[in-house]
Amino acid sequence: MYIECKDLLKTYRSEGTILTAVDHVDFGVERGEFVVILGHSGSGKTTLLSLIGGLTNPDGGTVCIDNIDNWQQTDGELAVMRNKRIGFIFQFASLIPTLTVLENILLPLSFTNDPQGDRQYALELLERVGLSGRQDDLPGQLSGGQQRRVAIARSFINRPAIILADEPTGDLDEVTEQEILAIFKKFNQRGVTFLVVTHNKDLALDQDKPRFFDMQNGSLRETSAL
Amino acid sequence: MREYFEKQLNILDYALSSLWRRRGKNFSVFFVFTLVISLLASFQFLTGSLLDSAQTGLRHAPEITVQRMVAGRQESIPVAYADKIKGIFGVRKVVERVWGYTFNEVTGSNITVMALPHVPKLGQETLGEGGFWVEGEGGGAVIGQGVLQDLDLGNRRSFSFFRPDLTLKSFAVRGIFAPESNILTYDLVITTLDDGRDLFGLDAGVATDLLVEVVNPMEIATIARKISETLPGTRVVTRPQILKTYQAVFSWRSGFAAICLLSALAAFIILAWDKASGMSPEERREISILKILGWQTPDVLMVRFWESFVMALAAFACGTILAYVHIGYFQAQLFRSVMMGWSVLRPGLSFTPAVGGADLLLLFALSVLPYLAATVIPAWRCASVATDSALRG
Repeated sequence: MYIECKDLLKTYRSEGTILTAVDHVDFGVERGEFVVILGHSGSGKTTLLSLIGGLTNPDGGTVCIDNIDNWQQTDGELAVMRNKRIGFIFQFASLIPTLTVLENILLPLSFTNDPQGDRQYALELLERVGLSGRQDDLPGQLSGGQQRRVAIARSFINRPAIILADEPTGDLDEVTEQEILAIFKKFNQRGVTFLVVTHNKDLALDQDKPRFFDMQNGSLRETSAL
Repeated sequence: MREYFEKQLNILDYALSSLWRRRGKNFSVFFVFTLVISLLASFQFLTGSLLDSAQTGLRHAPEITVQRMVAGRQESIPVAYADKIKGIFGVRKVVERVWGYTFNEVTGSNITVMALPHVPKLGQETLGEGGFWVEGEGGGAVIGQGVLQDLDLGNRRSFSFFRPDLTLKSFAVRGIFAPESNILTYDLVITTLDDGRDLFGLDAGVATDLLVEVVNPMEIATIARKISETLPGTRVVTRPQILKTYQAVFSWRSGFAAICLLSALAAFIILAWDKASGMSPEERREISILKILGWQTPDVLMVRFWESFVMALAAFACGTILAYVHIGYFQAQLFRSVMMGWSVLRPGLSFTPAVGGADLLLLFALSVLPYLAATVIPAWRCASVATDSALRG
């Protein structure tokens, strides 16, 4: 298994009560798979992504990526893993408002040594998400959907092996959504593993052999079809 | 190693652009910080300037001065006292001196006239223009910068003062003291002993005080004590005592002002701490996004460190330059009266800023270091927050 979660548990305390966001989840993803996790809001989908991406400590269980246990790594090693191997697409656009579009896209590559090559690739990605020519704009000058597309371009800039996406097409119109899904498909065909959290069942329609999971009250189970 | 430096350069680049992106807020902080540092530095430089001037002037001052006191007031001292002082082991020479004040009614200022039996041994840096009178020649004088202006001499090189009987006593200007010695010579006229006695109406057998030169400067205090014991009705003042008095007076005034300004600096630092610890949601979100994208906590802290360091260093540089201009060009207009005291407001004094490495280091330690601590520590606390907060919007 490329990504493997075993007996994963995450709880939150809120006003004296304990909420179980991820309840003893076991599941695995092979390299190059396109996995869709469906579920209503509050079912624990985002927390699961956080745990897999090494952003939140689990209360129990393990998350292994390529046979390396996330939580046996130091903070620095986790940061390097996030920087080199994972592309994040947030539920919200999550751009830094005072950076230009191009600077936002290049943010994960702040410490690399090929600024010219990086810039060229960033412009290429920007073109792919339909925003060529907008590289010098500030996020405030873009619509919500356009900001989301910039965030998607940013998630691919470090040529990640895994994309963790949280409602990636939430703010997009139908045409743009199809364009983004086409990009996902292209990257998926090149071997990038996708783990997409959504409540949009149509999102995976065009993907090659997607796998579906349903999450309810912190529990995860695989469903065979839409 | 190369990778490390490249990473630091990238972080510095990000920090500088971050400063520029929030230029409105940062400029306000920079402005206030610069102002506080410049005020603090002004006091520091002014005190240094005053003490430097005092030291320059005192280099050629008498090692021991003996004055006769009657009923707590200074009276003329008999020249015959000099013979008793000469009898003390370790005394090289005793010189009589006549001095006093003459009031200029036109400008309302006092001018100090000092008369010596010989040409004083002064360094070339003390005398700016001309020279002293020739031995035995009467009516010659060397004057300070302030006297030149106060008497409005222009190109004229002679002036007159009133004797006690209101007749006029004339002097010819032989030389002018350099501005560097202004603290002691600004309002000074030096002339011969005979001319001094003539001006102040003193008899030949008395002087205002006696100046004692010793063989070994290490024994100044011992010889001063022996003079006090030999001549009980006298006041004995030594050169180190005068310097200490200057240091005490100026350092006390500067210290008092510095305490007031340090309070302002402390208030600013507390404000910076408060501001940094209550980081805006945007700033917290930015830190969270950076961490999700693979930045490490030390990287985030380095960004904050460089932002604060560049800001503090720029404010420190501008503050010290402003202070230098304030003292050197504007002649410390803001604190002149505080530091000089009203008694010496007339005649005036020209300041040359004295900037030492220790002064700069002290200012740096008092301003830049606390500001760095006040901004980086809260950022460290903030950088330790849950990384996934930006994921939830």
